[in-house]
Amino acid sequence: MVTETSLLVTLPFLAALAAAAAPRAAATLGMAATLANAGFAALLARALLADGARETSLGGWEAPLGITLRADGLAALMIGMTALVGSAVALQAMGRPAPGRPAPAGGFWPLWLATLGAMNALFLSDDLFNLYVTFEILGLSAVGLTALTGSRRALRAAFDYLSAGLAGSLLLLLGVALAYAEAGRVDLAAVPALVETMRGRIALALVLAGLAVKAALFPLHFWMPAAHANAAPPASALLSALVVKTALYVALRLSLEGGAGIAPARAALAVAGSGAMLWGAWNALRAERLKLLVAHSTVAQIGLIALALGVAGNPADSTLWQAAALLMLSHALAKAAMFLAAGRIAEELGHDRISGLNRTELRPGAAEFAFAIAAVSLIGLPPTAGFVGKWVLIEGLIAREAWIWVALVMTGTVLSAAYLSRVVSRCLRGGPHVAPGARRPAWHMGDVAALGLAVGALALGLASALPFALLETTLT
Amino acid sequence: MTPDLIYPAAGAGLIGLALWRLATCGDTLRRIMALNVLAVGIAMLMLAAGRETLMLAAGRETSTLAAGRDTLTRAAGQDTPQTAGAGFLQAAADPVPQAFVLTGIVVLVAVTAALMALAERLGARDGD
Repeated sequence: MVTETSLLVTLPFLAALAAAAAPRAAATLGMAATLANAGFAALLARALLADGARETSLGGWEAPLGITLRADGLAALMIGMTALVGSAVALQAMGRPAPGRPAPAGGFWPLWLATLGAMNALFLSDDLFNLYVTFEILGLSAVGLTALTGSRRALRAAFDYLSAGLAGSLLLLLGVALAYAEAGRVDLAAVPALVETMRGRIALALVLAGLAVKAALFPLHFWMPAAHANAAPPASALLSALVVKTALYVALRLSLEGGAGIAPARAALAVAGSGAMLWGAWNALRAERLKLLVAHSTVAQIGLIALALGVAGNPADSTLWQAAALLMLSHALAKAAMFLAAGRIAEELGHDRISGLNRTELRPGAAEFAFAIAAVSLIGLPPTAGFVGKWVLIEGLIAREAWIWVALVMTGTVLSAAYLSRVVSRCLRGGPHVAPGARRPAWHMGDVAALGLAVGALALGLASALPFALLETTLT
Repeated sequence: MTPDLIYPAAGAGLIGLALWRLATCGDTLRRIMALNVLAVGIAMLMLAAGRETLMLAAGRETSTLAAGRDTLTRAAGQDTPQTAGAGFLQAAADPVPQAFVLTGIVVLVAVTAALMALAERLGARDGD
C-alpha cells in the first residue's frame, strides 16, 4: 500500500537515480522532488495530529522478518525539519552563482536526494539493523557532499569523515549483534528487555558509542570541524544542520523506548555534552575563519543537545526530552541559515577570515542580517525557537534543583554569545568603518534562503505550539 | 578450547587490533585495512552470537525462529508444529545473523570502494 510514509522513503531515492541518469535536468528534478517531499512531510504531520502514530509494513511483510516503518510525532517533526531545511538549501543551490565564481558541481542533486531519502528512512526506522543500513547510506552520500568541491582539504576531510563514520557504524553493528544475541530480535520494542541484563546494557552502550562518533560528540568530534568547514556552503549547511542530528535523534529514540534506564550511559551523555559545550566554544573563540567558527559552534550546540538528552531522565515522568527535540529543530534552522549566510559573505568578500569582516568598501547586506538572526536563535534569546528549547530545559532542571547543570547550560549560553558576537559585532559597525560610497552586495538566491531559514527559526519560537503538539502524540 | 570460545575470542581480538591500528596510524591505506579487519572481527562475533541464539532456542526460542518454523510447518502442510520445528532447529543455523553479516559485507565493499577512490584522489593531489 502506498502511503505518505513509504513515499517519503522511495521518492527521494528514485529522484536521486533519475537525477544521476539525467544530469541536465538534475536541478529541475531535484527541486521538484524536494518540494514534493516537503508536501508529503506536511501531509504526514497533519495525519498524525489527527489520528496519532501509524505503522507501515513494507511489502506486507510483518516484523520480525519484514521491515516496518513507524511514523510518530517525533519522526514527523524530524522529517518536517529535514524538508524545511532541505527546501531552503535546494533553493540556494538552484540560484546561479555570483559573477566570477565557478558553477556548482553537478553531483550535488543526486547526493542531496540520496541524503534526503536516507534521513527519512532513518527517522521512520523501527529496528536497530535498519538504522545501521540507513546510517551507511547516509554516510556515503554525506561524504560525497563533503568531497564535492574536490579541493585537497575537502578530500582529506571527506576521507577522515568516512573512516570515522565507518568505525562508528561498525560499533553500532557490534551493538546490534550483541542485542540480537541477548534478545533474539532487533526491533526497538526490545530495548526495555535489553536494559534489564548486563549484556543488553553493553549492547546499548556500544550503540550509543557508535552514535557519539556519528553525532561528533566531544571527544569523538575530531573529524567534524574540517569536514563541515571545507565543504561547499549548501553541503555544509546540510551536514551541520541535518546529518549530525540523525545520530542524536536515534539516541533520543532509544531513550524514549526505555533506554533511559541506563543511568551510567545517561551520565556519560551529559558529561560529554558539557565537555563539548566548553571545548567547542573555546575553539570557536579562537577560530580565524568564519566557517570554522560556525563548525566549532556546531560541536558546542551538539553538546547542549546531548546534555539535554542525558539529564532528561525517564520520558514518562518528565518533559525534558521535548527540550532536546526542540533544540535539535532550532539548531537545524539556525545553523543552516548560518552556513548559507557564511557562504554568501565569503562569496562577496572573496575570503572568510573573521579579522577581515569589517571592511570599508562593502556595506553589510542580507547575508549578515541572516547571520545575526541565526546567532540570536543559537544563543537562545527570545522569541526564537532556541529560546523556547532552552527555557523548557532550564525550567525542568530548576524544578529538580539540578543547579550544576543549570550553571553549565548558562555558561554555554554566555560562551556562545561571546563567540558569535565576534562576527555579529563586526557586521554591525557603521560610521567611519564604512566609506561613503560603499557598495551594497547584490541580492542573491542564497540570501533569500538564508534569510528565510533565519526568520523561520525566529517565527518557530512564536509558533512552538505546533512542534509540542506533534511531540505530545509520540508517547501515546 | 571449544568453538563457542574460539569464535568470540578471535572476533574480539581482531576488533581490538583494528581499533588500535585505527587510532595510531595516519596512512590512508593502512586505515582502510584496519577498518576492514574491524568489520571481519564484528562479523565473527555476529556469527558466534548466531550459534548462541540457536543453542538458547531450545529453551527460549527467538521470534524469528518461531516465524520461520511456522512458515515451514505451513509449507509442509503439517498440523503439529513441534515435530517440524525440532527438525528445523537441528538442521539450520539461525539465519538472521548470517543475513546481518551479508548486509554488512555488501556495505563494507561499497564504503571501502569509496574510501579507496578518495585515497587515490588524495594521492594524485599529493603527487602534483
